[in-house]
Amino acid sequence: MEYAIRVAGIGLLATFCALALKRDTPGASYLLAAAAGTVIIVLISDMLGSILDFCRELADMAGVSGAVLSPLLKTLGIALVTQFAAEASRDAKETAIASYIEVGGMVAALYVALPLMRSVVELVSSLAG
Amino acid sequence: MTLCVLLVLFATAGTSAKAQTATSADIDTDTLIEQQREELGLDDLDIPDEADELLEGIDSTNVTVEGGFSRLMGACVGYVKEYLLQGLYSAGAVFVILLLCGVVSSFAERTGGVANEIVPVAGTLAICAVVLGDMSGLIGSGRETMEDLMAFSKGLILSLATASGVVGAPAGASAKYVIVMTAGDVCITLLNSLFMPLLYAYSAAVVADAATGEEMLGGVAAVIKKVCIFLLSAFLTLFIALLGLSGLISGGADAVTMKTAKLVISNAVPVVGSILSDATESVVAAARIVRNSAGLLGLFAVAAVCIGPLIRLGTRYLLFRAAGAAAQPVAPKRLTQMVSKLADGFSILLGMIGACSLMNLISIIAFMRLTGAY
Repeated sequence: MEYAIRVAGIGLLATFCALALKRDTPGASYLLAAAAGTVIIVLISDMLGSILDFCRELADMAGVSGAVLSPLLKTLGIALVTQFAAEASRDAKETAIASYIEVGGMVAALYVALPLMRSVVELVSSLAG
Repeated sequence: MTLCVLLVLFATAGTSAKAQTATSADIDTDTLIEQQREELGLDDLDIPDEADELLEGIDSTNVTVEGGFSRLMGACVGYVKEYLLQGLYSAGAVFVILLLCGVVSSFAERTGGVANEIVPVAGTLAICAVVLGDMSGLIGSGRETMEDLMAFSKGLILSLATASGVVGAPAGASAKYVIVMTAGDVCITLLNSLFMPLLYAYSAAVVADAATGEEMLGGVAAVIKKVCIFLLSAFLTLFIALLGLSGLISGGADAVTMKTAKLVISNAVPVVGSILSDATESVVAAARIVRNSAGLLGLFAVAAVCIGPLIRLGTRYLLFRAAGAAAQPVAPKRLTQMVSKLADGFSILLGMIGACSLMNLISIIAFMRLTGAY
């Protein structure tokens, strides 16, 4: 609850300030939005850490190997970071850079998910064979 | 070939029965029962380990409906606790994966960003690794269960058929024996060469549907599921119909044979003939007791073999369905649908083992019912 209030407060404050700055100095407004985003991500990183620990604990109990969970978490992390970065670039009207970020994110996600793909392919082969 | 073996067995059992009556008409029922148990090889039945453990201390001499049933119920409670806990972990892992994917994709949902492409693929792969890993173990143990069941049934059904021949239904027993053995072989062949590949194809279609979002693949999976259910129902219906028909055709012939045999024995030799006829009735009554107690033990053994895998599959099906349903409000629709459809794969496997065990139970009951037993 405390975290949610802080995040909402920072978000609202940054929005009002960005609106005020937008007319005269749009560059500063954009920088403020990016900074607010960063602060919010740092704030929720504690909670994200706890959630990830719980996921690992549950995966251990279920006998899910790290070979499954770790690529999934990395892939989801890449998806999130790529999404934030691409949206930030679009906010700054840099759609070409946003596209590059997205392509880069996609390739990185595929690369990180390779072990997961491999383990699924092995599983399917063992099922069939 | 099978018919020849059966006829020889009936002849042997019949000869020994006659010998018993001729040598000592005053042999008590317990001795007769013991001798027939030995001749039918009921002590050498290859009861699968699970059933042997569960029915420890129970054999064809002391089996009762209450005793067997209470053991089965006790085992059921133990299995439900054990498999529910195991399944909860797997379903929990699937739920967590769905939640994580849901949280990440919710960021991208409004803006339609790249996360919308990455999350379903990553989620599909992770869920596949968890659910297919579970399914692979269950398919292996399910296949083992069905093979154990068929091997046990072969021995038991042969003993029951022989006993039914002595009881006075040789034609009915041989007809049913041929049908049951053929159906058992066909069942195992169908499971290995048709149903298992269909189950793999179903799982592959479901996974591909979730990963690519192609609706056509979802349709293919639905068709495969319907084909599996239809074939299993058709096979069971055909089996029951054939068993029923065999009883109708051979029942009359057996009745005539028995009446003629009784008449010939009673009238052919004055005074001694009626003693012989009475003694034969004692042998037949003993054979009926032996057959029914062996059948009852067989019923409990079949149930004991199947109950574990059925409960395991049933709990997995329910828990994965529940995980899919619980994550539906937050997780991507494609992923929750995939989990539900993969859970249906467990229900197909459950149907296969269920049909196999039902076939065995019906076979045993059909032999026990020959000439009005039970």
